[in-house]
Amino acid sequence: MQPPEKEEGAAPEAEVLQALSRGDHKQALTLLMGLYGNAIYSYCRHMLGDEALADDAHQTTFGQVFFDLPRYRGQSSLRIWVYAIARHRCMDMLKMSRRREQHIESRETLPEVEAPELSQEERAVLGSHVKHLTRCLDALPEKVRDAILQRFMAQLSYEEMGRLSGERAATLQMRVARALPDLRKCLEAAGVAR
Amino acid sequence: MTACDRFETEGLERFAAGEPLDAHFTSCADCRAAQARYEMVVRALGVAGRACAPPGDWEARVFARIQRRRPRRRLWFAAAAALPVAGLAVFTFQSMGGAQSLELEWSVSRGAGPVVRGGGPGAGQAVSAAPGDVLHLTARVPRGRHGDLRVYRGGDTLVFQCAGNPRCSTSRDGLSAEVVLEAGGTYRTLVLAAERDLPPPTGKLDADYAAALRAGEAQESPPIEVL
Repeated sequence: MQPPEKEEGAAPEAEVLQALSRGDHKQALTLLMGLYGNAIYSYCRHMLGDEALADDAHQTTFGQVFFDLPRYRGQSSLRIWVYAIARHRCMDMLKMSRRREQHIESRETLPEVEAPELSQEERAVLGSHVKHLTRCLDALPEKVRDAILQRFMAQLSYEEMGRLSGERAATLQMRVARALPDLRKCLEAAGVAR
Repeated sequence: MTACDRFETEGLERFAAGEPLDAHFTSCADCRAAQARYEMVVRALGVAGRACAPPGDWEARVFARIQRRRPRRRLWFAAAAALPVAGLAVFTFQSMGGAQSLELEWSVSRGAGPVVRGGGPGAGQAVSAAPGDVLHLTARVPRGRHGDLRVYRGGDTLVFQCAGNPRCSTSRDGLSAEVVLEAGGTYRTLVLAAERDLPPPTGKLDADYAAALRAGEAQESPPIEVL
């Protein structure tokens, strides 16, 4: 397996930092949305399993990013910082949706996938795979799903994941390794990964 | 002959960490096959991650949200700090234009029983309520302006509009109404004012807010999460 990409936004983050140093928060937010908008949406979408909730969490995340930018002190990369905000917003939404008991039902409707380079038929197959994957992820406990998404979708290192969640990297590594067989079996049963 | 399960028992943790595997795993056919199956899982996750994209207008909507929340943030902090734990929770948001400004006061009550708690400051924080709670709205509209109160659920469902509604009271100073929060969801209230007729609602909060700003002015309450 290829190791996760390291800090894919490290170089472009320099532009964000320059905008911040000029006090141009609007430009900094625009750059951050371009860098991490899709990845954060995908994280929220798979964490929450609901298009409307994910959209709200995504919108709220970047709204909060804007208001919190003046307080960013560079303790972590901007990427990790934005993920941390998104993670908190998604966890809030999960709590609310759990109370509403709408979580499972809403997972049944999934959007068409965004892959303009593919044919309609290929998009349908990919859409079906995404749907099965979302169901398999949903079967995992929230903490485990969160760790899997951070590791393999967001491609964070365990150290970065530890900074997000406040847990030890070794604990997270163990959690991911233990979850993989369940995820594999679920995906193979759905015909996605065989 | 029993298949080798060393990949599952020993190799998976290193695989999950992206660390190199020892020589056995490259020479053992069972382990190579097991590794390939997990690589498929990781690939599927990567593909799924790239396949989902936010709606096309999302960046504009983020800026629209920021624009709406900006002027009243300081007041929101003050209101939240002063929020009583019991009793009627009342929130006031007003533009900085003095007595002639558009103002919205709102509160949520639950019969004669306990009052809905308020939320904290900042983007994304919401006040929690329950189905059946009542949202009390009072809008002060500058003299000589057309005004309206609109309540939306989930940003795309208009559940209440003052204009032409017998449940809405009109006075010299403004408008008032009570709206039962019947279904679960996120409710937001808009108060609008303009010198000319207000644009009719489309039912979409963001679009109606933008149209109101073009025609005059608008204020929005923080979200109320009905759980």
